[in-house]
Amino acid sequence: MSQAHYVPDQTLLLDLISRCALNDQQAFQTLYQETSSAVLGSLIRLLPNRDSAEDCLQEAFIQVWNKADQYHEGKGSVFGWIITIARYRAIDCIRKERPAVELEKAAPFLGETPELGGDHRQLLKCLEQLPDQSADMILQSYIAGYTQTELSESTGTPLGTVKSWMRRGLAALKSCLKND
Amino acid sequence: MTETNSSISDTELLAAEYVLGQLRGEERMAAKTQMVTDAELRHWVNWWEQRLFSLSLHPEPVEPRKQVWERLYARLFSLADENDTETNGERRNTTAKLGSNWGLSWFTAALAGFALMAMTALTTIYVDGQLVPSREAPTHYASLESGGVINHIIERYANGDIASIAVHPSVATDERVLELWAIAGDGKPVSLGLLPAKGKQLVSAPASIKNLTGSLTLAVSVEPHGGSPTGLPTGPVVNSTKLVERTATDSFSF
Repeated sequence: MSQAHYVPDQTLLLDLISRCALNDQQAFQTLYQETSSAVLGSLIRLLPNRDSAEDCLQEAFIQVWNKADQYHEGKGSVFGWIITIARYRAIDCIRKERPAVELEKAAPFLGETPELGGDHRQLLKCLEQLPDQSADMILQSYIAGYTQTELSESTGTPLGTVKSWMRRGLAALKSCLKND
Repeated sequence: MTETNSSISDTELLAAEYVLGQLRGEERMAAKTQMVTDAELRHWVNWWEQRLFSLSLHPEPVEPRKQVWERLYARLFSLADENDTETNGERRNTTAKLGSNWGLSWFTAALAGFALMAMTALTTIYVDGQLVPSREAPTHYASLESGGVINHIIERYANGDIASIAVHPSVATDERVLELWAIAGDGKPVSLGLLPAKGKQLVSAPASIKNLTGSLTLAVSVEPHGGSPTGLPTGPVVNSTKLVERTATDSFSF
C-alpha cells in the first residue's frame, strides 16, 4: 500500500476478514498488506519507537486472525475494528514502554487527520465545540494514551478539575454525536 | 449543542474512559470483567470505539519492515511453539484453526513423534499429508518467496533438524520438483530433501549441517522427479535465502 492517506475499502476488507474467519491464510496476507501500513502509522503515535510499534502491530494482527470469526458489521467497519484492536494492544504496553509523561509529543492532529467521510468531519466539528480544555484532553488521551492523572501532572491542573472537564467534555461530545 | 443539554451516565462515562485508554491496571481489568456481563457497557464501548477510531489514524502510513510479516507468519502458522507458555493461549487458538484446516490429529502427531525418534539419517516425516507439529521452538527461520508470495517457511531447531512448511508452494510437475539445499561450511550444497507441496516436512539434517552454528544459507533448485540424481543441484537455482535467528521479540506478549 503506497498512497499517502489510506482510504479503507470496506467491501474488500469485509471479504478478506470473512475469508480469514474461514482460515484463508492468503486472505490474511492480503488483509495485512492492505492495512498494516495505516495501522503502523497510527501505532507510531502511541508508542515510543518503531520497534515497539512493530511488535504491537504483530500482536494486533495475531489477534485479528484469532478473532476474525467474531467480527460482524455491528462492530463498525473492518478497518476501524482492526485499528481499535491495535490501539488496545498499544495501550496495554504503554506502561512498560513509556517511563514518564511527555505531553509535548501528544499534540492534537486535528488538521492532519485523513478524511474518512461525514462521520469523521462530524467528530472534528463536535470536538471544536467542546467546553473548557476537554477537547485537548480527549485528544491527548485518545491519540497518545494519557491517563487523567498524567494529564493533571503534565498540565499542572488539579486532578479533580481534569476529571470534571473530561466528564463535561464527553457528555457534550456524546450529545453532539448523537444529535447530528 | 449546548452544555446544559449534555449529560452522561456513569456507564457511558466508563465506556468512554475505557476507549480513550484512561483506565490502566486494575481499573482496566475491572472494566473488561464488567463487560462480560454488562450489555449496556459493551454497547457504549462499541459506540465510542466506532465514533473515535478515526482520530487514531496517522496522516502518513508507515510501511512495516518485511521481518514483521515473517515473524507474524512464523508465529501464527508454524505449530512449532506449542510449549511456549507465554503465548500458549494464542497458539492453542491458532492450532485449533490450523488443525481444523488441515485435518491435524494429535494421534497422528504422536505417531509421527515416535517415528522421529526412530530415525537416524536424513529422514522425512510426512504422514498422509498431515501437518506434524514439532514439540520444540525453532531457533532460526526463513521464508522462501517469489513474486511477493511466501512459498515455504523453513525452520531450524536446536537439535539441527530442518522443517519445511508449505504455504503457497510453486506448482511442481510430474517431471520437475523443487529441492532444498543447505550450504555447508565448505561451500558444498547438502540436500535437505524435496520441498513439500503441502503440510510440513521435517528433516533430520546430516552432521555436516547439524553441527554448523549461526546463520545458514539455503538454496532451492529445480530437479527431476525424485530429486537430484547426483547429490548436488543439477537444475537452475530458483531461490535462496538465509536462516535468521529467532529473537526474543518473536514471543513477546503485551
